[in-house]
Amino acid sequence: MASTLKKIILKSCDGKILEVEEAVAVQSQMIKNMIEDDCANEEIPLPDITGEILSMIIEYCKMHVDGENNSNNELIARDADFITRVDLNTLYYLIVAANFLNVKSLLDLTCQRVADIIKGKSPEEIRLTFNIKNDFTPEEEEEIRKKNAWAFDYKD
Amino acid sequence: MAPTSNAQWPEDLATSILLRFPVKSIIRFKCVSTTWRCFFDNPNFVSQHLRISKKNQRIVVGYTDEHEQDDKKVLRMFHDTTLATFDDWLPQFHALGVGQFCLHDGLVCVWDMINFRIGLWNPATREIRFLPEYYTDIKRRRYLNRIGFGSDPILNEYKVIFFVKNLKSHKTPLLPWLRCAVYKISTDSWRELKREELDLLEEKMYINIRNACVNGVCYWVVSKHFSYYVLAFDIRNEVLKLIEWPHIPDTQQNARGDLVIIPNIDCISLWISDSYADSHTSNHDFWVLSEQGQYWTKLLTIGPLLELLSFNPPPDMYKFWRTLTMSSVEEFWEHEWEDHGTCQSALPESYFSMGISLYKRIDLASKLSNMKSSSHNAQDFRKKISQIVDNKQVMLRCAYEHGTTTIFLSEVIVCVDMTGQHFIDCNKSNKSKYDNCRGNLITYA
Repeated sequence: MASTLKKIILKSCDGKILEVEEAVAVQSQMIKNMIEDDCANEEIPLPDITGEILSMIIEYCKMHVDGENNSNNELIARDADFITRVDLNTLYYLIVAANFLNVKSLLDLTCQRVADIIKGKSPEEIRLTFNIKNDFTPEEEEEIRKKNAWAFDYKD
Repeated sequence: MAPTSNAQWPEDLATSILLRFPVKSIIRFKCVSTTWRCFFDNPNFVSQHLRISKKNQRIVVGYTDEHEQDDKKVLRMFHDTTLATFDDWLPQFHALGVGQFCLHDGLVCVWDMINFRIGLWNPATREIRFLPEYYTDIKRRRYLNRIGFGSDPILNEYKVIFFVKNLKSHKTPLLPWLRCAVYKISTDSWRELKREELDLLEEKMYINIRNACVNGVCYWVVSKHFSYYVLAFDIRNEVLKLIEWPHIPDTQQNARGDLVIIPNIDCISLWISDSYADSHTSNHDFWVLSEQGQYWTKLLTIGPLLELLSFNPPPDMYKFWRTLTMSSVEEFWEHEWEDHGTCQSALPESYFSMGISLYKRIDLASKLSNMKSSSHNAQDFRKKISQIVDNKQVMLRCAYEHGTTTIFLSEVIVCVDMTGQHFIDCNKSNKSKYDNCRGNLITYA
């Protein structure tokens, strides 16, 4: 039966072609809509997604299709294992791609991961990470820090 | 990484991430830049964050600490899984005499009974704001006050309702017996309700301290003699309404009820137990109020909750071991166990079973009813009782009717050894303190 399963062909922006089983591909709401509208018979070009990111997303979707019968806790553990292997830079591209392809659970997972990584940082580290210029006067900044001193011990 | 190069986070994605921060991080990140501060201060962001945070519900525990003076309430909250006191978060908190509090949207509205003021406190940001004082004469008069706190979800407007009942209204005829004012956060001002707006309330009505606000309406349980109502205050229109309790045949006299908000249903419901005394043996009904506040629907009935007792009461416990003075029989048993039982046994079950089997063995009640007369000479009567318990010394306690010489038998004390098997003489040194029956006494079987 396996050979008769319908495949969806995805093409990344760097020209990589990936064949994906329909059951995996429909994890993306965008592709699901395309299939329903009968526009997924040819290869689907994805202009903003690199082959590397696309393979990761397919890996994630496959994991969820294969794990359908697993317990919730098992899935959460697999999600955690998947996401902690990703650095902040790759996370950014994953989020943009998950948003474009509309894979809701992956978008949720990646956004939460970014929030978890940066929530314990100091304002200085945030400025460095996101290249933000501090436009407070020293007095203004001091006032915010003084008023909310409890929030500046970083034990969250 | 991308965000540090020229690539920009799409705004909706950035918001989706920033909304996931805990409040503590948000407060810290306010000093990253003025743009970040504006972003976090935006009311739209705040209400979106609240909506997400509501999924992580916390439990707030309020109780009266016996060691505190003035019935001050102590507030504690399950922060993550540990119970934290509010004092840890707000140093001023300990100085407040929290007499009442209301919870809504993660905010705590407290009545500070020491300084006669109302505070609005956000435990997440640790900010507290005191409302402008109103009804300052309550510092001098005997009064009873009630507060309510809630929001109109459509206009996103928060209001505090403040009732003041004058307890000495006969002495101050110029002052109405009840006054009520509403405070609006957006304008930081009070509006006094006119007398006719309070017409539906009667002086004999008692407004319960507990309240709840859901879908823009604040609710209190109100009682008058043995009739119960729910008082509803529409926050947007600032209108009061009385709603009758659901009709429960025969149980109204003993019924008691409380308001509960059932999560995810988002409407007010009333929890009514059919008997005041035995909370574990009675049934508990949950009634849900329709959206327009017109009728009640019974959602479910649970009970009796015998398995919730910390011990299994031996058979006949409810029949023989009752109380006439305490509000619940469980409370009475707890007193019995703590004051009398713990030195006899390590298990409440065995102490209470022993008590019941002794009670049945002596069977004083039927022996008293078999006696021909209800009037006895104390000395003779003591002997008769003594014969029942292997001729050991017993003690009799009597109640004296005020202004007469009539005395009533109130308690018969027989003494047993630690095993509960053998009767022994009651300690003579304690006798004078307990044994107070002299002359003729009257018994009621």
